Amino acid sequence: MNEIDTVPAPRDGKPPSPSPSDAPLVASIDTATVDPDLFGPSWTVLTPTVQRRPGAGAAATRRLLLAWSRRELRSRYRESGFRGLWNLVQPVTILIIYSFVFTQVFGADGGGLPYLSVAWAGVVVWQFVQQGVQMGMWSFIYEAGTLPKIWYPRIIIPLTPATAALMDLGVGVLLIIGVALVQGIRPTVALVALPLPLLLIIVWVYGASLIVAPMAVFIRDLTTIVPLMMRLGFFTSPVMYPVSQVPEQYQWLFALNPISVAIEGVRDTMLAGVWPDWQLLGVHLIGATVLLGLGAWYLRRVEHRLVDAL
Amino acid sequence: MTDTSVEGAGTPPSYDAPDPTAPALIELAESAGINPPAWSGPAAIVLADATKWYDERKRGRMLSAIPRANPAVPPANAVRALEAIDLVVGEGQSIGVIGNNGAGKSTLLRLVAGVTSPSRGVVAVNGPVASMIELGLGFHPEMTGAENLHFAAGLLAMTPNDLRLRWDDIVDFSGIPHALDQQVKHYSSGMMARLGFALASHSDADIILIDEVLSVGDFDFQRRSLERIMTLNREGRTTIIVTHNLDALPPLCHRIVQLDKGRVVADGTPREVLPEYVAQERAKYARRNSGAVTISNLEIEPTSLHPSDPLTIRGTIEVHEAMPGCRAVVRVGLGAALLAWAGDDLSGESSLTRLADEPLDLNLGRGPATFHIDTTITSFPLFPGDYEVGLAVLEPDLEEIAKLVVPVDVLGERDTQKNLRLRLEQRNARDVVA
Repeated sequence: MNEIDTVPAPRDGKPPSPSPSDAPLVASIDTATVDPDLFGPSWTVLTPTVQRRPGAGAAATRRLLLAWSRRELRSRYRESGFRGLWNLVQPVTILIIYSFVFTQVFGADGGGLPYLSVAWAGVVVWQFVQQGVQMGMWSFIYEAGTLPKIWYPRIIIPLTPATAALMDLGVGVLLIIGVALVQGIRPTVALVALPLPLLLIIVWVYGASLIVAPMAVFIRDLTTIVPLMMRLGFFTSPVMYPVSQVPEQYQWLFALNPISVAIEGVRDTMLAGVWPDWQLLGVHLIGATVLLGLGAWYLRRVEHRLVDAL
Repeated sequence: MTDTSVEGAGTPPSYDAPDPTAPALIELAESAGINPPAWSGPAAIVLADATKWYDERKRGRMLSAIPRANPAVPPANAVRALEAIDLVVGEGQSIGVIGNNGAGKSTLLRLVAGVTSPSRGVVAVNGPVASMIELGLGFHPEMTGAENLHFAAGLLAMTPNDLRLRWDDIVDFSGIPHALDQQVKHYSSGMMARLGFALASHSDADIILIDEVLSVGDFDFQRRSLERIMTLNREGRTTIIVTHNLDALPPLCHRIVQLDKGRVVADGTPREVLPEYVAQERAKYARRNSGAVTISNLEIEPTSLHPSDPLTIRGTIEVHEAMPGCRAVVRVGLGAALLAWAGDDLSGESSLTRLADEPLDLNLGRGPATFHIDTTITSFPLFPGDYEVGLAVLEPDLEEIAKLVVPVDVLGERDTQKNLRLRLEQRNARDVVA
């Protein structure tokens, strides 16, 4: 019997751990009195009350998120004839139909700006919200194949749809400039403030996805409620009309809505060529950041229960 | 067959066609020095009193949306998947987990993979885990094989650089370099498994979980997979292998853990555990198919009653040979609920089944005898629908030996006082041998 050749472990040259904070020896463990603190930082320790993981590291998580977003984008249009052009078909269709309804039936106008530019800016931001939140809501449910098999940073799943939608948002913003130029609008220096309203909507959508995605796993009714809320949100947010068209006594309501603030911010900086409402934008940026933090906290608190509910 | 499992230190181990009898393999493995009886050195996986129950109620699922601590006591009707598991696995140790379906093997793997928390107790795992629980995990059907390697590598904690370094090995091992630029949806299941195994088995993870993947692909690939697992184990990876392919276990495992109904019932070297398990299973199979028990004459009375009236069930059990410890049960259930009967209350519907008021404690151990069952079920609220009524004989571990199930249509009608009366109509009996 030649044990040295054949017994694979313990690993050669690795001395028994000196401190109980590293790997405790097999013989030293009494399963009747195991204390979670026995295990060092390289251990994943799970109890009903403690979920401690070594953590994948921010770089690895970001890499995974980007890889999955790329996969999402590639798979979406691989089989379709027009590839990325479909990104535009939906918002353009919405624009055409609703522009007709809002201008001809409801009598909306651009409030001093060309209507088409105003509406297109609303549609671009709205499409991002719609894609990010609605696809985010389904993300864990669609990922039921891998979730029970292996642990990876769960946060990437709800953030993937929004991250993939960033590309559409970028293309959409470029097209706003195009439409505006065609309609005779010349950009002013206020354009440098454009990233702020965009940041607001991105942070807000990320935060909302982090909350709604795990919740939809536990409470499946959300998968019907959220689309309904989105439908309401489309009309109650100034997507197809500017806030200036809204009767004075209701305008304060729009100041409460982050989507509205973001859309108006985009219109101010790109179309009207004026600085956005700093105060309003600042307050909502803080609010969206709090939402994002809340979402990250919430997901951390419930992520270990997702698999049981799928 | 000669060198089953292990060669010299420098060459990778090879795996020959398994001999169908496990004990012979065990001897070979032992003589080659595998299966050291005791394990010293650091621990890699620790489960202490690890218990897992699932709350199948919709309310329970909704409550888990609230970020609070998990409930400390199991809710009523909780499905118990694992019960007080104590298991310490050493670094580099290779464990085979065996047991029948529903024994808790998958839940054990889920706990070790860290995807779910124990309902009680502690689960601690040292280092990254690679899962071969499903081959092709994280593959997207629209993507090509090569693209999928890039995307899925992230799930196995491989960096792009790790992947680049091992790309040739992975592609070589998969044996399908020609298909890497095809979309995965055009792959056969074997090709998918090859690529998935190639990727997962080249990850850096310290702990490798393998579930029933030893039986995919053709013979050549299976053999190479086994060799690859042995190589990983020789490199000092800790492995947990779940399989029903018992022949594969002795050369791969230092230790076998047998689960049954969520508990560890045996834990030892392959020599200690496997022959015993095989003997148990053979005996169980033989008993079930021996016709040692027959059930007949299942009757339900009355055939017309009010919804809350008691129901009397009669039947005959003939025992042709001694069945120590076995017992008979009578059960009524709604629709398909009886599929999950006999202590196997897996689905929510089974709450609609009910055992007889008095548990039937027949002594079936004495030898040939005929028993006439006459039992009453009160307080089972019948309402119009399709029911099943059954009589079964269970082994001590609650496995069925024989069962007779009668589908009953319960039809509603109004009597003279306009109260609901039920009429029971038996359809043809189904004789079920488990």
